[in-house]
Amino acid sequence: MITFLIRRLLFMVVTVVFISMISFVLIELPPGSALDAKLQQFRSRGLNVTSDVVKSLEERYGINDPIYTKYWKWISRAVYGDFGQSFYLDQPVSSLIGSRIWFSIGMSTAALLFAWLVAIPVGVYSATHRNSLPDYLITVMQFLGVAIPEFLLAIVLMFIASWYFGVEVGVLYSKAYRDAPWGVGKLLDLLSHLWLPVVVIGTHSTAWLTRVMRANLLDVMGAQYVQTARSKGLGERVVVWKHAVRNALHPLVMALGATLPALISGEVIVSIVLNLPTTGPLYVQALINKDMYLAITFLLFLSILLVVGNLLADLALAWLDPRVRLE
Amino acid sequence: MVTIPRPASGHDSTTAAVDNVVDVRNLHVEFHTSLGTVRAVNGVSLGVPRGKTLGVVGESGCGKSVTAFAIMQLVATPGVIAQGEIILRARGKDPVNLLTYGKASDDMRAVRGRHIGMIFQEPMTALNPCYTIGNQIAEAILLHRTSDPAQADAMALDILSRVGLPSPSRLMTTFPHQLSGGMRQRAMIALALSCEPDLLLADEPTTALDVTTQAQILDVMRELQQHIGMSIMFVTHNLGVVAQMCDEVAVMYLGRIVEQASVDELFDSPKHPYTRALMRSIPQLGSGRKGRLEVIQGSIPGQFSKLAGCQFHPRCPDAIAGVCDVKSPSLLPIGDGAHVSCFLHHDPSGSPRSPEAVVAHAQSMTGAGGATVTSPN
Repeated sequence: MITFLIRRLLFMVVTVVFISMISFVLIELPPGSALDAKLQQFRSRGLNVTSDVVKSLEERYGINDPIYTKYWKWISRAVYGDFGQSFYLDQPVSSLIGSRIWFSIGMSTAALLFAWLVAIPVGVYSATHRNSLPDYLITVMQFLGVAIPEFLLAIVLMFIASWYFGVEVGVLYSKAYRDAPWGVGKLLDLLSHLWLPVVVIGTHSTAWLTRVMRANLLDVMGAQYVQTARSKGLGERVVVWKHAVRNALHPLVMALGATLPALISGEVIVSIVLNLPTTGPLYVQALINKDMYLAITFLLFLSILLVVGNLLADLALAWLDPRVRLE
Repeated sequence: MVTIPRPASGHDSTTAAVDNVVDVRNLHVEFHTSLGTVRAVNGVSLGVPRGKTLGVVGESGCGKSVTAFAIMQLVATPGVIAQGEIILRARGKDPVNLLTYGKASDDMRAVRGRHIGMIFQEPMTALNPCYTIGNQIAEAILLHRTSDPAQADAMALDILSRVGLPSPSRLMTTFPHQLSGGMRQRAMIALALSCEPDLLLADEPTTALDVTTQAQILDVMRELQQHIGMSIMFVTHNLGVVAQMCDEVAVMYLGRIVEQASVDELFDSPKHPYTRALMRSIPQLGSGRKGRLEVIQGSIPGQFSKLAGCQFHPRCPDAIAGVCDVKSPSLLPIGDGAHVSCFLHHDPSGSPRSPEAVVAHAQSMTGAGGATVTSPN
């Protein structure tokens, strides 16, 4: 198991390096650079930028360097936590991302937990009460959940929250806590504002996972060992929860690795709509402005999350199913 | 319906009027599907003699397994037990009709595993891949015999050592996927017998195993049958296994019992045309490679079709026109202790025909240029 972990970790590093190279090239591909945007800024302010200045700036920022030189400059510092400078915002990338990435991860994890906690019991109920009225209702809700665009759901929920419940939306803290130091009160206040984005981000995965859970459980309920469990004299609840559900969880766990990045990219639109200080909106801004060090660093972190998510999924699967455990 | 399989006359050694562990009477199991109703079991009556083995044979889809599952009240949805009685006479318990218990009732759950155990055709999928063998056996014991986990483990270990598995203590912590098919079936037998049931329902337990393993599994079952003193209802389509294992045999065709007799009787002189056809379709050693294997003409009618008269008459070489395709025969005793459901052996009125009359009738059919008749032996 230890050697397995070490090997997996090594592979992860290799994967991340490859991803960083490919994404670096992809981001470099479109014509123009962040400098152009910057110069545009200067010119619009009426500053006279001579071609000499442009040339010296280009040299200073290494705009015309070959791509491998640029990549090396960036990656050799990135290992030490220096991800370069944001052209557009004139701040170090690490400080820009650092303040937001934990918030993004936290919110995605919360959305993931929400999705699982809802999807598993609802899926189990739906499968064990197949073709009943509640099952049909759940199915309709699932299709709605999968089909409804997140921004629309965000707007509708925002409206409901502020109109009927008087909750302040579009912010993370109430006025009283906005500049207050961290404490229990502030945390509770944060949570009371956080449920809305969590629900919005998690709805799509919840609906989808419920569907997966239902289909799988129906499959497993037909398995021989479920009949074996019944033939021992076990009650239906034990048969379902101990013998069937555990075997039906596989695809959910397998999907875990892919769900995490999906949640994070789903979060972009929701964060823009709900005005949340997550990484999403900043990432989109960076891509629009060709703020390449910012963009590439985001991509890097997203891919690290994907790889870590996959490792976690594999470990969870090994815990769940003895057949995939390594001897 | 007749009470079977206790023959009123005959040479059966047991003398008690009724000493069957389980008596199934006029059992009907129906599957209501969107395409129509499938009558998988259509008036089955059979009994499993105490301490003995009853074989239930027949082609695929004739309702053998469904009958076994019905005894457990574990017929898979959309199947329902439409009518019938299942009388259980467990040791230390008054006879009870299991169908008066609700499917999911505590009473029924107390019977499952405790008084009736079950093993299945596919040992590869019959055990839960997520739990150790020890855990799965102890689970049943904890349900019925003791509430002390340590004692349950000890009992599980004991039964595991009885089914002929090497190093049973190691097996306690082994997962099913680490075992071979034969070992899993042994573990499954250990699980089914862990609470020393009165009746074991064996649903084609050796079909998925190779012949050597099959023989070993049958040995284990016989040994444990002696040890626990239980009865076995052995569902199979393998007549060789039946000859080896069973004391009595019930032959099923399309959801009905067409013949029930002692195993010697059945193999020596099969009565029902279907049984005879089954016997002829067993490959014989020494018959030469030129001899073609006999087959039963035709195929089983579709599951939704409704046939008038005897269900076997379209495939029956001896069918009597105007009788067999009109009236449905009942399972009735004939002279020598067997029960047959066939108009060749009793008149439509229900009185037995003499064997001579049967032969004469068969000859008259051949003479009339009808179907070919092969003599039973």
